[in-house]
Amino acid sequence: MKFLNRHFIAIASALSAMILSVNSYAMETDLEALKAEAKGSQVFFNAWGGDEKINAYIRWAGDEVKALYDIDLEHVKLTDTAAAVSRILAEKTAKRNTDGSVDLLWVNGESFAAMMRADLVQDHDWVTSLPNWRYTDEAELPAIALDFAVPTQGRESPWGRAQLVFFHDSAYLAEPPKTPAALKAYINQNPGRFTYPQPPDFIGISFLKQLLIELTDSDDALYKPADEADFEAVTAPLWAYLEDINDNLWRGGNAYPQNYPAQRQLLADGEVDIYIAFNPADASSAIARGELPDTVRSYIHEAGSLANVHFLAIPFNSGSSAAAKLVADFMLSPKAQLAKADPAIWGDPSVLSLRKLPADYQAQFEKLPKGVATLSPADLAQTLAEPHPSWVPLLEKEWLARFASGN
Amino acid sequence: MPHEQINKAGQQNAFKTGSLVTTVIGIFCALFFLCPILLGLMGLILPSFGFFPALGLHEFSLLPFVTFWQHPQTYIALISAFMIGLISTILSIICVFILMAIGMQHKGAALFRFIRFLIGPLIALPHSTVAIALLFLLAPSGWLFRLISPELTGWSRPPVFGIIPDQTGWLLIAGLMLKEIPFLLFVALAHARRLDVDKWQSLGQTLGYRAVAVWLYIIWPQIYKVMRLPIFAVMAYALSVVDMTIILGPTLPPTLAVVILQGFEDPDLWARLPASAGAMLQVLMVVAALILWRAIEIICAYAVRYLRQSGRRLHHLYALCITPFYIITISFAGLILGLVAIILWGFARRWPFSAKLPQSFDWQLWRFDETIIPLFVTSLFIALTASFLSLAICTLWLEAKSFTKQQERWIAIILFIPLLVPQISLLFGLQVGLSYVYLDGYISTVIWLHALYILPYSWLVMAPSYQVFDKRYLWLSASLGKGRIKSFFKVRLMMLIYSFASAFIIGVAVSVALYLPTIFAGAGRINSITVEAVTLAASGSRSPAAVAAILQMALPLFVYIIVKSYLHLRYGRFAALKTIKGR
Repeated sequence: MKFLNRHFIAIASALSAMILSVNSYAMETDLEALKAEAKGSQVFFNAWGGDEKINAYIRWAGDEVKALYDIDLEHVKLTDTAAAVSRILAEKTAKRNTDGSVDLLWVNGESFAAMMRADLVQDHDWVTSLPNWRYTDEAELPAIALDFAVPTQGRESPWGRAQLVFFHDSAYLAEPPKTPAALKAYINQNPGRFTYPQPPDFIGISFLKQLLIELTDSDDALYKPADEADFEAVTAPLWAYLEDINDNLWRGGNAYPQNYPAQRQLLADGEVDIYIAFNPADASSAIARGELPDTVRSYIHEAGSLANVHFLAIPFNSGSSAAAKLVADFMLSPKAQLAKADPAIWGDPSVLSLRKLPADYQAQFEKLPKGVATLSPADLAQTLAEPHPSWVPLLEKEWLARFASGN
Repeated sequence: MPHEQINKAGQQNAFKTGSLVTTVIGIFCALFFLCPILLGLMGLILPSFGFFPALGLHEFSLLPFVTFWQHPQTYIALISAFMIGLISTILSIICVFILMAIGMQHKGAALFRFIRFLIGPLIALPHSTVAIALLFLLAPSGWLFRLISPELTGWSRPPVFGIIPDQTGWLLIAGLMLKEIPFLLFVALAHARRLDVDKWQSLGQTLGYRAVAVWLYIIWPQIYKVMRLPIFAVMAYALSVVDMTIILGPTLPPTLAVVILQGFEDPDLWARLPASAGAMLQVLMVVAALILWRAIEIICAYAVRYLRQSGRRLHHLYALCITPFYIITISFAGLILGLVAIILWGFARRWPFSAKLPQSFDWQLWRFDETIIPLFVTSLFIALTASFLSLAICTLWLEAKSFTKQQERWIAIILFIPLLVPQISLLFGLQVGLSYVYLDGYISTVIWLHALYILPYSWLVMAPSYQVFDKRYLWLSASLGKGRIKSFFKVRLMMLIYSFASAFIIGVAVSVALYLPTIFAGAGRINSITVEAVTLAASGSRSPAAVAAILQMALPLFVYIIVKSYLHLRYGRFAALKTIKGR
């Protein structure tokens, strides 16, 4: 079934690409219809609001779509995607099938998989017909249509890329440990100077997944639903590893930071030597804000690092889905992606394929400055795909039972 | 006897209007306040029994309860939440006793004035701000260690050990106490004003009892009577606190309320069912704690009676109380230091360990023109109207009730449900109702929901004042030809002006802390300073978190200062004393 879907998407996108190149007229009318319908409408964009840079970027995008399409983009700042999903679910329960309160949602992975299962997102492919979809390349970046091993079926539009990156303060730690074995040796020689965000925090779970992929021999099993595999056998090396380092973690493993910014703060204060984030430019922007010393640098593990794409989805009951699609399309445009990739603005890697872009954009992308603590695309090239989302609850439960149930 | 005539005339006159008003208000409360709460409860109870049509679940089962119970953290989280809630409440009460018993004597008077001065501002402070203040002060990289490092400690980096987050729960207990003591003290003081404390003390002393013993035997039992309801609210809060726990610990495992919240925030939507079951378990836990509290109450009352009747002088009690008295005072001074640390961080650009003060300052987070001022105005409007609305309803209700013998206790119980049930679980059912009738997304809906959460607090400040109010003043006023309304404004309001003002300020403080109700009822359309602050704090960095904390404490403090100055100007310190002590 999944195999089929994958094929379906590949065929669909190939087809749409063909249509695009052969006859862009159909696309234009489609766009015109959307524009006419969207004019003057409001789009309530529910997105995490914890980063002032991201909020500023969304404000900028709001000004742009106002000028382009006369759309009012309202950023509903969330601390957790769950709050918006909860509202959509309440609306579905109340059978409010039109005019829902959420028009566009920043989402990926587990949340998207759950929303698909509960039929909370638009139930047709609206993404591959977006005009700017032509600048993406599924062969180059399969993750734009495969969200944590779940086919997106064109129901969420790629927005940006994220990659698990480690940051270290070179003033205290000159040569960071780039393999699990080196990390273990480092932790045990420097008690108290390493930690990770406490699962179920997203970064904490991602760190567990990164280690699991590196440590286990049965990688294939990770990309299928977890109930098809022998969880204990697959994950045994991970737990053995964590048991070995636990006593020498920050606070002797008796406490963990609650999220990655808290861990970044620990690094800023010099309590720990390493922090983990999902944005390769995280440290560069923190240095620019004055939060981190300029001696902080980044690295990834030699085996590569966990990478994923984050998306924009439209709920099933959005009252302004035409406008929401135009916003999603704008977010996918070379202009918006270029601004997003600029470390001075956000520093989030683009989901577009560089070679498909017009020459002037290619040049601009290549000219983008990098922060002092940001790796080059070549250094980030080695990536690991996200395991199937069904592994997350199992990893979470096992971690809680072993390290967080007070026994 | 003219006195009796006044009594009778007043009672009869009032009774007629009273019953009508009661009926009207009863219907009003039912429609406006009970309906949403019951709706919210439905949205909690049905999923906890496995019924969730939007997720394709149409059959009832006990599976969510079983699943929740099997969650690896549930058992310990339940025990620790129970212990923390109970211990923090008991210790808070003991501290209030100590503060009053020592502070209202000559010796502790100076320090007690300092604490009394702090009560108002501290009540206005959100819980999370207290937690952040402790964090900024006591963390290994906190201000305290920065001030003494490296000179006294020799540390150029923060130590690898530390007490935040604290897995034993004592830090959370301390944090809760710092927030609850001012509130309970406020309630106790309001009542003590009406008792002639000096008279009891000198009477006791002539019989050979020291003041602390007089307090324990005579004065405290009278004060305690009116404190039951506030204690109940304090305990319910402590049993279900989330924001302080996340900052101060315990985190491995966290308390029950946090485990439940994590279930609701789980991307896996089916995790909400066991989380709803957990919310039911939490309600049961609060009820169990209340029953236990009642048992403790009975035992203590018996012990005090026994000691009193045995005539023991308890001379050592004073020595026992004096050290804690100083410790409590120092703790409050420490809290103020923490608040100063918050303000410093709010303007700090770079402040590495172990600099005593920030190395550079800036304003980049203070975007006044675009966000802060407009949001401040919106929040102020929501907080003032919601607080006024709930105070008005509470007053109408109490006015009506004070002239009838009926005791609609169940209504009072339902009003307290928002305090008992985890916010996120109650809000889901409410949201279903609001989306069904398309009422979400309006500022009036947000105000309504806020009023729902403020109402229990208005009630527990106002109800005891009404309970002990000497109704003969109203009868006197009635006998002088004044109607109900005029009597209320000229007599009751004037005599209880401080209670009204306090209930109003507490309402504003509660409103400012309501993040989830704002984004649920507002459907993301209504943006307030709280939403801005909570998302700022979500960035996890210290400076934005500090700015958020400052924004959140600024609004209630602003209202507090305005109200306080108004009362001062309007009635003056001595004028106010005259109205209260005037009998």
